[in-house]
Amino acid sequence: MIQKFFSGLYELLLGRPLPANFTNDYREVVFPNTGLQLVLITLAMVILYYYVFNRIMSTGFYKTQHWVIMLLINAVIAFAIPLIQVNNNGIETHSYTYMFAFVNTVYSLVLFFLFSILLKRGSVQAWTTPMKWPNKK
Amino acid sequence: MLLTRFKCSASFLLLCVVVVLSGCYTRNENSAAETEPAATVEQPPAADKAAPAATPAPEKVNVNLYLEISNGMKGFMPPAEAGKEPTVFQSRLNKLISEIQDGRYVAEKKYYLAREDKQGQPVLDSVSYNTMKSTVVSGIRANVLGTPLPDLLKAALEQSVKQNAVSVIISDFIHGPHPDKRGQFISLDSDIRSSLKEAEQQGLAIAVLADASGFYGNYYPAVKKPATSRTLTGEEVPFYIWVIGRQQEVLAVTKNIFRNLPPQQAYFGFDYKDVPFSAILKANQFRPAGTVYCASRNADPCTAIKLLPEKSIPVEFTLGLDLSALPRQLQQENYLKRNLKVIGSGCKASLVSVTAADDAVRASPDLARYTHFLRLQVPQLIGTSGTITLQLPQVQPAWIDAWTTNNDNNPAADPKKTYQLDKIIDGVQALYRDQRTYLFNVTIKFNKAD
Amino acid sequence: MAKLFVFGIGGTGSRVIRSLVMLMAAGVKIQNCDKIVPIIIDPDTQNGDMNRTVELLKTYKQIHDKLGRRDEGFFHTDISTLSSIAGDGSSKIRDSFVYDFGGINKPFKDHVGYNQLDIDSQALVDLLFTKENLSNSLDVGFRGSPNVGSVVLNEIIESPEMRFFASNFQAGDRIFFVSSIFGGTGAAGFPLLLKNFKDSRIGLPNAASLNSALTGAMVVLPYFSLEQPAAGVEADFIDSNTFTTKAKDALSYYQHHLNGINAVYYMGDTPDKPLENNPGRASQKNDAHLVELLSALAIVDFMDYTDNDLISNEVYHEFGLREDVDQVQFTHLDQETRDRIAKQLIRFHYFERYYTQHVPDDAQAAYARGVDLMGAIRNEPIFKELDKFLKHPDYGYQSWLRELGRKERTFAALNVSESDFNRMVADKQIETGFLNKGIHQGSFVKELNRASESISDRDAFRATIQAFEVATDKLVEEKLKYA
Repeated sequence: MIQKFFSGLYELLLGRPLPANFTNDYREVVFPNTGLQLVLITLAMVILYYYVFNRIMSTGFYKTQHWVIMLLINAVIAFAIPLIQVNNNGIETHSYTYMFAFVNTVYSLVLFFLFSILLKRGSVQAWTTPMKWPNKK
Repeated sequence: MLLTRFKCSASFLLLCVVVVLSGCYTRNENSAAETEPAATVEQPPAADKAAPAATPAPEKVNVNLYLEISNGMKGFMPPAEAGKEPTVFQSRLNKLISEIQDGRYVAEKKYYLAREDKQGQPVLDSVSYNTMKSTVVSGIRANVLGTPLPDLLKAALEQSVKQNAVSVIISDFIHGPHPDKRGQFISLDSDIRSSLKEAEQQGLAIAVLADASGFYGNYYPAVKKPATSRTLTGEEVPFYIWVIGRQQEVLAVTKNIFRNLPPQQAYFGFDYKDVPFSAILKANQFRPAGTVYCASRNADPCTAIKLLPEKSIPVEFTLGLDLSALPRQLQQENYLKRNLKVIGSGCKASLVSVTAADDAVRASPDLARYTHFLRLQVPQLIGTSGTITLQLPQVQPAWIDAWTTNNDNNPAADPKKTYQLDKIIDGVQALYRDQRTYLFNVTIKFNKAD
Repeated sequence: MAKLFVFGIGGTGSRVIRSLVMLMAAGVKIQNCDKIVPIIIDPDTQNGDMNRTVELLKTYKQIHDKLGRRDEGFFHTDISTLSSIAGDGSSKIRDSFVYDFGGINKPFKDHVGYNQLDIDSQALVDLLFTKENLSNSLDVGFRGSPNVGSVVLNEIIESPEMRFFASNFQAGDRIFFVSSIFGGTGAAGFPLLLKNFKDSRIGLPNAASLNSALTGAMVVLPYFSLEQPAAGVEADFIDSNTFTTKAKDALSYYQHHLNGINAVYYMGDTPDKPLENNPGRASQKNDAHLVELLSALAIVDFMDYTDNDLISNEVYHEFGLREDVDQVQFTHLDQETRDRIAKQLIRFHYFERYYTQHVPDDAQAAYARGVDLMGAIRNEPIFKELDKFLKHPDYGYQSWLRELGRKERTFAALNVSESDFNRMVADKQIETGFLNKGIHQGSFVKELNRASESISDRDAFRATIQAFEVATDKLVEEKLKYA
């Protein structure tokens, strides 16, 4: 189920895995692992930003620029995950791998934004970061 | 001009949209169809795991050696003299019995001299190693009539089955029926078949090794005209060593005890139910081409694959086979290339090449299990699933015809021929014809990739 | 709905009310009343002290009205002009914090009709008033001449304003007078008004309520001196050398004739550096003084008494510092006084500092973004009012505080020019360390954001003020740990 979902998600943009002989390594391991890690890490980063930095600790990192920094750190991690996954599973590196990393990075941006919108309300210091919408006072 | 360019780009855009949409659609369809084959793929690994471990070659075998000592055999074993070379027969046999007696691969050994008694019944005299050795080295002194071939084989086989031993039968296999039973010339093949029936029933296999040796003395051809006998001085006459026993034991004997096999070999009743094999899809030495991947990620060996050949990119991949259990001769790349049959069901498939493992391959742990690598090409699928089967048929070796004659009356003029050898072999072949068409049979399943 | 009518008489009255407004802005609680009605009585319509107090009152009122009725917090005390207390618009009088003398711009001589008097009466007038008294125009005030003031002010009892006041006076309302004893207007006005309010024979409405009303007075004794004019300059001036004499005379008068008053507060100081001698008009705009701030506290104190306390016995207060120091800090105030104002002033000061220094940089902070504070500051007039209140060079909080620091005896509890929050309170500085940065922009904005969490008001101004109230309270309690 999760495998199908993430495989579908990545192959939607990437097409079928290359080199083709590693198709099920991608589908059964790399895609779901990467997808899950992406979701969990992004969630963790968003929680870190909104609930740790800007609720428990109140570090003062509430500005949009700080949010963007977190977004970028998350993007870098998101770029690295596929490369690490591919490497650890003994899959040949291919230009597909980098396309995959790139797509994952794009997804990380979308996901980080989504999680931010969903979770920012719970933050004391940064619930208006990156913008007030959709929360009302 | 500008307008047409616009039209072009617009239609291109439209095309893109169509492609994207259709891509989405087929994806969904495929993923729906995917579930079923995926489930069936799960089971092969468990079954295949046991395959490489099946019936290991026995450490030691029991061997009964039968040497025919009719008058016709005397010429192979001339008495030794200083300055005279031993015949091929003598030296080969000497090595053989020495290996049987003192080699580490033989447990129980028995030596028999086969002859005919006064009533025309075959007699197997159990002798000691020394007697056997002196017989080979010094020749046969007594006047012994030749035993009819079927009877000899039957008697020897019965003896060995009783003692649970591999029979090694050495004879010139010149069929000399009793003058009263000339009809046996006609029924030679069926007689051979009858005499070896027990071998077939016991599930035994037969290896026939042929060699020729210098012959000194009286030669008694099967065809008695124009001469009933001829005196030869070193002309080459064929002799045969038949090894009959369980497949593994026969292979153990041919491999460990004979050491140096003559090039003329024929194997009957050999059957490899479980030839270990796997699609090799991830090795650097054997990169596949096109869309092909193992149906199950962790399957080892991989016996089910998914593939999707396209017009421009046909699928090509390698199948690794462990043929180490096969007789050496049958392991040769050329032999396999010539005789292997690829049968695609649900697809078109062909054999591109056969490669034996080289040192680089043996160094790679994943590949070291396999001795041969077959490159297969699948340019087109016909169904969404199917099989690709590789078969190695039982083929009658070419040398058998070459060593066959219908008139052995003058071996000097027509050397290294045996009277009606093909008939003898036919008889053996007939024994196994019905159930053993193929030496081995390997089937790999495939599904169309989604 | 008890009200407190505060009569600020003369320049000193205006200045004390100015300080009172600052205290109210800071959220100092004035008990036992819902509304304060300041009435400034000063014939000098051009008086600078009066005018800036009036502006300040107007600004305060706008801010208060925007924030609405509340029990505590910045600007929570309601103030009202006399004319608007009826609340039905029925009043015919001018809507102002200032009593309208109706443009008496003629000389005193003409005002009393000196020329129409018979000769005997003229002689009596000549005896009571000097030539200067008679010829001076009244619209600059009474120039330290109570003899003139008592005549002119006696007339205001008959005025529509006073009738309106009296008819809207209700049982339970209180009256408080603020005046100087050494000036003209104050010295004359206070006893005169008191006498009239307490005289049952006078024909004002609600006389019974007025007669029995709880009344307090702040009598400011001399606390400054004026420069002597250069020799030979023939000019109008007030002779500060007469302050003490006048005060003595007045006190002895009060001793015997001040009836119907429940509490009297005295406050004075030894004069320091003489002030510029400006007898009235716009140029009479004196720097705020510690004495005025402390005098304003008398009003707070007066309102702390319950009705019963005041009815049973008259009380008299003099103010004293714990130490005779030039730079007065909160520690030099009595504990009771300190409890009343210190935290409030510190909080307001924090608010003012942060609001003027840092809020413009907080566009991205949650408390600001949540209510679109930046847009509101640009567009909503109420923020302009707040700006005026805090920063106006004439009457703003900053100027007031700065002025308080100029005199020899200064109010130095809050360091005016300090931008470090940790050093702003003179008698309590915050120890900072590597990990503890005390109060700084970061910790302040954090508290503002936290505070804004619980504020449901979506109006930018109200939400912001409330956030600052909560945040400054937290900072004072938890970071400054002021006790």
